[in-house]
Amino acid sequence: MSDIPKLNDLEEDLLKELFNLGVGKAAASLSKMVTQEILLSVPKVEFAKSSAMIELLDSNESIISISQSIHGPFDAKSILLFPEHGGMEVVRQMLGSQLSDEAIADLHEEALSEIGNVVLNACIGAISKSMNTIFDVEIPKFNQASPENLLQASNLLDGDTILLININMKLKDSDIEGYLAFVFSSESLKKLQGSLTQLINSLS
Amino acid sequence: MSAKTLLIVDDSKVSRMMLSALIKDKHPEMLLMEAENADDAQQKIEGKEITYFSVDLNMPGLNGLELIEILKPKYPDSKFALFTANIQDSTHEQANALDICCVNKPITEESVGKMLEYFNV
Amino acid sequence: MLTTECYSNLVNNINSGIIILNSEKKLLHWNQWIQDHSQFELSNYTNHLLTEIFPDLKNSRIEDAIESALELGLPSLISNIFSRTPFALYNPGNFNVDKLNDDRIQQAVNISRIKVDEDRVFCLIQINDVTASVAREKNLELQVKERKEVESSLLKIETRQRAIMQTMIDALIIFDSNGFIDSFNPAAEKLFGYSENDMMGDNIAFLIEEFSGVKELRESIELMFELGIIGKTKECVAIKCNGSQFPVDISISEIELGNEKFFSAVIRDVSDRKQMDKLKKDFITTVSHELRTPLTSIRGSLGLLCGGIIADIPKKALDLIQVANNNCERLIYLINDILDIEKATSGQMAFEFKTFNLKNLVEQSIGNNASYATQYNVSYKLIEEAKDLAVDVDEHRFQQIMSNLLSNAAKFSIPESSVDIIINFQNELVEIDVKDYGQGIPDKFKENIWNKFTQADTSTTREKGGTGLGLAISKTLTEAMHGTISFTSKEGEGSTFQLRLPLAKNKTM
Repeated sequence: MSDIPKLNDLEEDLLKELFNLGVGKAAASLSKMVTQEILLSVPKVEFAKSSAMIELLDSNESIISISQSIHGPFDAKSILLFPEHGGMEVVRQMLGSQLSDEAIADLHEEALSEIGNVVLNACIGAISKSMNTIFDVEIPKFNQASPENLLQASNLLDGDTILLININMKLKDSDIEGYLAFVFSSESLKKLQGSLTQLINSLS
Repeated sequence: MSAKTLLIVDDSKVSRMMLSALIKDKHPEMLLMEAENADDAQQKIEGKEITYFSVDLNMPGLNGLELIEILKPKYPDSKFALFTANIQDSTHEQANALDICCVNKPITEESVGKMLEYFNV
Repeated sequence: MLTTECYSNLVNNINSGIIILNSEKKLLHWNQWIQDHSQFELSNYTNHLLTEIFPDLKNSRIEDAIESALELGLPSLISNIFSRTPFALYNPGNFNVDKLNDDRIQQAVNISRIKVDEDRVFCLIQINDVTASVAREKNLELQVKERKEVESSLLKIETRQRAIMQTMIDALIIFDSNGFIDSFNPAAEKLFGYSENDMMGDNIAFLIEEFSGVKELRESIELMFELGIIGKTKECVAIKCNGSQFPVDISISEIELGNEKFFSAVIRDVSDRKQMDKLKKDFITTVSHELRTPLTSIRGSLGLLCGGIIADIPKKALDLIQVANNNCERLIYLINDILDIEKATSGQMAFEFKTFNLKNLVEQSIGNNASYATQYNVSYKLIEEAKDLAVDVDEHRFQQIMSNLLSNAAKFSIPESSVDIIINFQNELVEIDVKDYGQGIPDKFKENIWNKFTQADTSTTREKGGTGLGLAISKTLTEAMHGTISFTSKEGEGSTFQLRLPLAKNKTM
């Protein structure tokens, strides 16, 4: 069990800017898909233990996750998480209120996979560009599980370190909270930290 | 002739650093000032002459557009540029309405170049 | 390991579209599926930009996805949900040369990067035709919507009906074809003193006195049909939960719900009405008797005086006494008539039906009313146009009707004319016509002729006598004996009153 690395101000700043860039682009893409204004913002970025993911989400309902693994100079797994009601609300808002509950239940997996793909691609893309690296990216996987089973379903170990990013999604009539998590192996984590340091140094 | 002054307003230190570095690279003679939000900016420029403004959109407190709305009448001869990660049409429309330049982040040599071109430096 | 040829065949035979672009976004290859669905020859388009081949892909999500795949290795899912028909592809079966947008197949697209080695990167586009599943989903949606609408209407109807049942003032009981109670509204609860819960599954037979003797519960329905209750209103006796009985009006209707038959009974307590009726009857009877007794006595005394039995009375005095006597008689007739009408209309008149030879009856009535003939100087003439007819009537009441008709005919005839009484048989009915050749009845009185207290004008009442109740009574009595009465009349020519009665069951006597 490794210690959770702490981000210094500059590092946190950099990552926040990076993900803001990413989600900004994602928001623009999502807006175009449904001709509605959608705003995405990243209020907070920090390193945490993977178990923190569960604690942050309400244990009374299942958790929806869309994940894409990336391979390259370092490996990671990117996951977009919503509590069940939040995920359904996103689908409902984006697909329109005239659809019946049955139809929304039917389509939600496909719709959320696509929406997750847009958000994750944008964030991975932002990381790629800032580090001048291209990753091999897998197609998104959809999962809906109880909080207890979430870690198992995502092939995560309790002690893994994750980069936990708060996401706030503003749609026409709703505010939805979700999370973006990047899971790193200890190797990858070191490489990531190396890249971050490099970036910051190049600025001064 | 006094050197021109450029004010960078952005809540991200990294962004401010990047902008400074890129601008200095092209125009080492330019005087640069930094502020981290609208209040900070208004305080720092009190009584000073600012030729160019580079303002981030998303900041705590007043956002970039709101700040520019306040400053523009006070600095009728200065030029304003809005940097934003939010590339949606509504933002661009609002920028056009104010008659300012809107530049998309990320902050790169290219996007900074676009801003400088607008400033006509 | 599959050979290149195998892969080639595979790609061309799969049921999906495959497009491969090079790193400059130009077409390298597409499979047979694309050819079939676009009607484009591959050879015409290789090395063209995809956005040239399909112009409406410019600035679309597809174009963005291709770019991010090639530049950043990002795979994109472009499902049918948010992007229905990005490519101009059509059903090869019914290809329309006009290539209308509406004809495009519904698509789901996947875009990804293929990296052969550092220098060779390609963009892979996979397209699936999802038209069928989209149609299925739409259908399901419609069904769900319809079902919800039906449910909602049914709920509205049910709610409204329930509201009506709950708030209506009359008792409503719904029961099945065996008499078992299905619902019992609040008004019924109040009327009988049972709660709905108590009554569910119990039999309606227990509530109505007329049914309470039945052994098999099913019989109660048959009994109802027998009594003629279904579809009509009938007076019955109901039983409260405390055992007390009370009169009710019951109206029962049949309801058919699918294959099942139900009955609904609306029940109204008529104790008040019955009491009212009784009071009225008692009042009339009492008053009539109270009036009749002294009047009879007065007539008696006057009669004696008129007859000169008591003493010699001067002519002038005798005239006055005569007038008093006549009026006394009139009053007594009036009271009798009123009593008669009340009795007849409230169904309390007792009729004694017997079979009579019609000719005999009529001859008798002519005899009874001879005084009128003399008084008004007319002659009654019997004309028998059909012979050997018999009727079932109450003799007294028949004579009462005939007296009314004959006296009227005489009263309103011209002196020295005849009154014809014609016996006939038509349309299964015996007909007695009383025909006079007198004044006739003015049109304006014809409508009200059967009403109580009507005569052509009040002057005739005084002149001709009569209570004004005669025809009203005659009509009531006729109908009680299952006959009809009518008239024709022309002012200045005379009137004919037609009395029709059913032929007796034993036709001749």
